[in-house]
Amino acid sequence: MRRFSRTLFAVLALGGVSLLAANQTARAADPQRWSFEGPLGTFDRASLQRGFQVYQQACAACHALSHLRYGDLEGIGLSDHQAAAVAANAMVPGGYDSNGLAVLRPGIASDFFHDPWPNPQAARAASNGAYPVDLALITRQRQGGADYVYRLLTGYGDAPPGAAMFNNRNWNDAFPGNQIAMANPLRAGQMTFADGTKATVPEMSHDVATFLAWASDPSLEERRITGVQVILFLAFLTLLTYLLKRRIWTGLPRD
Amino acid sequence: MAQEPQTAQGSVAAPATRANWARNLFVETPPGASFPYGETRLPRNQGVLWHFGILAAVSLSLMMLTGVFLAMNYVVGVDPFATIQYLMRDVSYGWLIRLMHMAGASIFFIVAYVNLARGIYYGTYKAPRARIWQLGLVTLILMQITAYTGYLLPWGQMSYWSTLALAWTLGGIPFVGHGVVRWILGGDTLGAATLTHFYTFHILFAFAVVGAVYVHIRAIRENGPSNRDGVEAVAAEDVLPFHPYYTVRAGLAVLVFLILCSVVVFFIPYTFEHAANFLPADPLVVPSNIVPQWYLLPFYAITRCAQNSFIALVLVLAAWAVLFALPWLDTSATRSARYRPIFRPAFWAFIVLVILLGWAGAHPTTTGWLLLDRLFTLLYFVFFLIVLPLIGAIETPTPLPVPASPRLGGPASGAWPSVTTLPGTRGLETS
Repeated sequence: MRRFSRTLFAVLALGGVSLLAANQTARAADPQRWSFEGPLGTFDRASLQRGFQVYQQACAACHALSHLRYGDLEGIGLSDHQAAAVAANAMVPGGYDSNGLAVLRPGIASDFFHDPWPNPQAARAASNGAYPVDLALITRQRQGGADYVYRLLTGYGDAPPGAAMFNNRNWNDAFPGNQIAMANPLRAGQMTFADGTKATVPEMSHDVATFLAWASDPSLEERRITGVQVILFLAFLTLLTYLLKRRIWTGLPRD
Repeated sequence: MAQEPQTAQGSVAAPATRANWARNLFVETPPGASFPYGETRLPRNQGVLWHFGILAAVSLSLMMLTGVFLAMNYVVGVDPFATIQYLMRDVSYGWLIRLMHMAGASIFFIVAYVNLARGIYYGTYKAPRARIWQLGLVTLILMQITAYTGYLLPWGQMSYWSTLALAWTLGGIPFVGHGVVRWILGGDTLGAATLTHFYTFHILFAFAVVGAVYVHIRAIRENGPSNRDGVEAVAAEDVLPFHPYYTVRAGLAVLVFLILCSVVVFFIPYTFEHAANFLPADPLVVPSNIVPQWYLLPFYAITRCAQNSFIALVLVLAAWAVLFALPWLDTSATRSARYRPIFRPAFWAFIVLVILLGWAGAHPTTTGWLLLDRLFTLLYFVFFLIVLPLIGAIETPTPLPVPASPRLGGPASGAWPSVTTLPGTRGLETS
């Protein structure tokens, strides 16, 4: 038994190391390898936190992340103090002062993520008429999910010669119709990651896609763990019931 | 239980068998003495597919249970889409009850459709069980109405547009159609009033399903259980007591079913969902292809055949009518497809046809798909109105097994003890 567990540990450790090694090199590959894919995948916390930084610095100025609260950031591995600090950096509507004027206050953990726009018209007016979509469910709403987000962010390029471009549109290989209103939001080295990871465009795209996949489905890990527990319990109960069934049906002349 | 299959009193001596503690434990102290477990006899030759009735009942129970908790947290208000996100993200275990309910609807329909197909294959709708079949169809219609109204509640793009597309089929009712649709929707198009209406209908029809299932089960008890050979289980050798034999076997089936359900709910919960339904409903943006839930697709394909909504309504009502008339359209005296060499392949062709019908219904109404829609719809009616009666007339069924024969699940040779002398069934004799 001990030998078995030692072997199992060795296999798992080797698998983990090779996965880590693969992660370092596979960012530019297509299709992407996602930490959360497969039935038992979990979100890579480091990637989630880098992805959150990318969202904050490259996306949040135009794209809302509704339905999410600052406190939810504990799900990407931040402590409650860190999540509260992120919230405190945002100014949210804080009711009215004694003169009846609207005031802003620093956010707290239970506040929803700051919406960059007061209304959709303001968003369109500031974005060449195109509405910057809410990103809270983006990997569910688009065919391909996180892969689509990655392909879109790495899909910018020069329009092929002869392509008739509309005004204020950018060529993108992954976008349906290839003409997207959003300008390329990512440049290599535009931000510095605290963990020393190099901020290449594929790296930032991969991390922000991981973060958005988490934002679309924050209960994914709890769901999978619960699923394993439920199925193990049911499997054990099924085994007992099968034995009982066999016991009851034996003694009956059959075949 | 007047119509219960006749059981001969024990004429064979009890064989010497060792005490079966498990059987004794459960028979000596049956849980819930008011339900006549022991008196009910079930044919030995009920196959695995006969479990789908109880599986449907389990699905329904889970839907009712999760539905109650969803109803506690769902806010019928200005932003139903945000309500669902609140459930998924903020309510404790909200994601669990919501995903169970969402995937559970598809699972319930899979089980119900297998149950229906089982009835067709084994001809269990024939006399004296036509009533059971028709009550089952009534249950299915109520299920579809419940699912249709429930699908609007998340207020996604596909919820909105498929609800609108299907609602206007009722506009085909002569003279009053427009008024009826306005009355149901609370306006010409979908709005806050529609949501309140559909929320109420959803709960109302869910309880109607429970009622219909109750009557369906009563009819099964009154007309006697069917079996895969279609030969009435009249000999004592052909039946077993419901308890403990079938309670434990059904329990096993339910557990295996729950494991499969868990795989869906916990690991692939979004399998049956359209990506477009994660977008909030937008009355100004029509999706490029409107697709209702998969379990409505064959009927949706039939309604799409006609441009005129009156004809569409007539077609879909006719599609249901032929199902209700199935006990008379199938003219063969032999029930089970096991003994019907021509009906057997025809049945499988029909199953493929229904899947093709749904497949066509999931595509946009371009000329090619519309042509396929119409072709498959035509074949659907040809199967019921021409093929089935014809097969009954020309087919020569293979010989049926006689009662108490090994082919009904009994022993290959030698005497088989009758029910009342089986070990562990002391005190189960019917009076």
